[in-house]
Amino acid sequence: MTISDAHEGGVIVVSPRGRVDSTTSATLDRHLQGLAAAGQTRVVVDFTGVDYISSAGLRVMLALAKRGRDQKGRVALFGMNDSVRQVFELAGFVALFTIAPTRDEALHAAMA
Amino acid sequence: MTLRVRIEFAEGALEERVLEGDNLVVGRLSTAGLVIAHPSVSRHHARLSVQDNAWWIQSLSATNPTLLNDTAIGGLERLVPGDVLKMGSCAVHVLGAPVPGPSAPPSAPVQAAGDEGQSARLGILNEVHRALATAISLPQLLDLILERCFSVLAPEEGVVLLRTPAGSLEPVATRRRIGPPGPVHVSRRLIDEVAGKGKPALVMDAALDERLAGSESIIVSGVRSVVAAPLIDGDGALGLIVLSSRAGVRKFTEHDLDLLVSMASAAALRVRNVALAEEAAERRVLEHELAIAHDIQMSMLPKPMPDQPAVSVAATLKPARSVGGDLYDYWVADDRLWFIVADVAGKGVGAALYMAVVKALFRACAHGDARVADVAARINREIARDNDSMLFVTAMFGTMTLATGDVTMVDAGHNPAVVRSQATGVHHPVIPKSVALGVVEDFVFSGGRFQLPPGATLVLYTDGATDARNTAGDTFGADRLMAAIRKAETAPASLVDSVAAVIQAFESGAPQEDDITLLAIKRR
Repeated sequence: MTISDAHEGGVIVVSPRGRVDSTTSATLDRHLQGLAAAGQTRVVVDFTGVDYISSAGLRVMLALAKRGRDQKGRVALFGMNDSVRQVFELAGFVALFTIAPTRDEALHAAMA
Repeated sequence: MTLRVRIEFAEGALEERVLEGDNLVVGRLSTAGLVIAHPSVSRHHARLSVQDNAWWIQSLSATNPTLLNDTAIGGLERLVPGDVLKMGSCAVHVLGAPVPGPSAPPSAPVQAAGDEGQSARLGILNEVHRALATAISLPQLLDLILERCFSVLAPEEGVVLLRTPAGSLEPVATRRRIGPPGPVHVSRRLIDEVAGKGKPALVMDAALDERLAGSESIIVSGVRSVVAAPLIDGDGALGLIVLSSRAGVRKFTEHDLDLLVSMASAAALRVRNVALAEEAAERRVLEHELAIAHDIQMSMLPKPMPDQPAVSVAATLKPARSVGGDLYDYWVADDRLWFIVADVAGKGVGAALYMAVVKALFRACAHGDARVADVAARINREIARDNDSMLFVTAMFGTMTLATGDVTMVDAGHNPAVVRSQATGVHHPVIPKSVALGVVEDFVFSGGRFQLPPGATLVLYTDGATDARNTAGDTFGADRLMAAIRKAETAPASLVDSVAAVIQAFESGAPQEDDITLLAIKRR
């Protein structure tokens, strides 16, 4: 998995690429924790490059959402393919996240 | 008070030391005041102390005596220049106080490094190899490397730097001839030169050497003689060894550099081997932990249930080698069948203990005429409380009234259930989707109800079944699972076995990444 960051108007857009599973999720978790530690509370996760997410990956997303609440930040997700979205739906997590249809709308949600 | 001694090792190497203090232990340990790194010397061999303006010696080892001029010593013996102490197979010559002043001629600590040539040098290296082979942990090995460097090259201070997993070079062991160990400053430029390019360096005059021009860290402590060698193995530089002295005290030579380079390559090999051994040990601990988790997991599963007049139930759980976290349970009480299939997001002992908690909570809450949605809320509250690790549990669970086939189920973030019947083939019963257990503490769950007709079978499973992959990376998927359930024999034991066999055939030897659980309930 590779992760790239882009800054846009006070929001950081994190773009993981590849599978977010039990072997790679720790890398993403450390990356997101690092952003939180640096005070970056407005985070958009770009799923366009993510082929698959496992329950370990969902835990990373839950931790991100929890930090967002604790730090009064904003978290938005976008760009999920059908199978990734289905994993969120199966776990009942769709209601827990702001899942935007486009990058612009995700940015807008994270800036609000 | 100071005392100058010359140590004569059994193998012929000579080493001169200047001791400072009034109470020093002599021994093999790197923490001794006078270290004699030789296997024949005890860890705490003898004590040197000052009294009446003179040095005295006292034996500390009951089994390994200290001889003074070839006579065993009893209590305290006074030392005078010219005395020879025998410890193990090494001799310590008492030379007296050092010549005072900074203009003291550099001691000639190691003959072998100078003129005695190749054979003495090979002797030293041989000895270094043997000594390093005794170290079992990385810190021990690093101390030993510095100890050997000190006894052979007699610097004033030395440091070993190793590359961290993040890529930077950090000091991991330091040593000083006099005084307690503490940080030893090394110029970044020198580190980059030696470790970055893999080239040894001999810096005779820090202020003038272009490699160190402008590097404050060495200049502030005066003009020093510095010798440094990379620790290189096949994968590049693991780190480096740097030895330094005030130039007036000890000037290193090209011979010293050659010797340090040879010692560094011996050390690099051992550092790599010890590091690999420690990694292997960590892996063994992890594997042991996973084995414990597996035992916990399997010991929690219920025994096969004999067929009942109204229902027969069977389940299978194929644990993955490394992941783990699935659970199933079922029992009949008060004319109702209770059942659960759950998947803890996580692995190892932590996940296994979580599973034990979920099973215990389900057993405790699910009884009598308890509502399934209330059972869900209770389990959820318990595990959501203080859930900092973000462990969550997806579960499909509920109860069936044996007389009527009325089923009430909660879908807590789980894969949809499947009903197989004569009338419809296979279909998903409609159950409201709730969030996984442990995520939202005050979540309000709602159950779904349907009737399982006589002869129909309810199948629950975990995502290990649908997410199973073959060597080409294709996923088994929900469609193949539905087809396998439709084609299987209807007896629950045969059904779960044949579906598991279809999944295994699909995997065609690819490693199973997640637990696979299947539970089948057939109404008779």
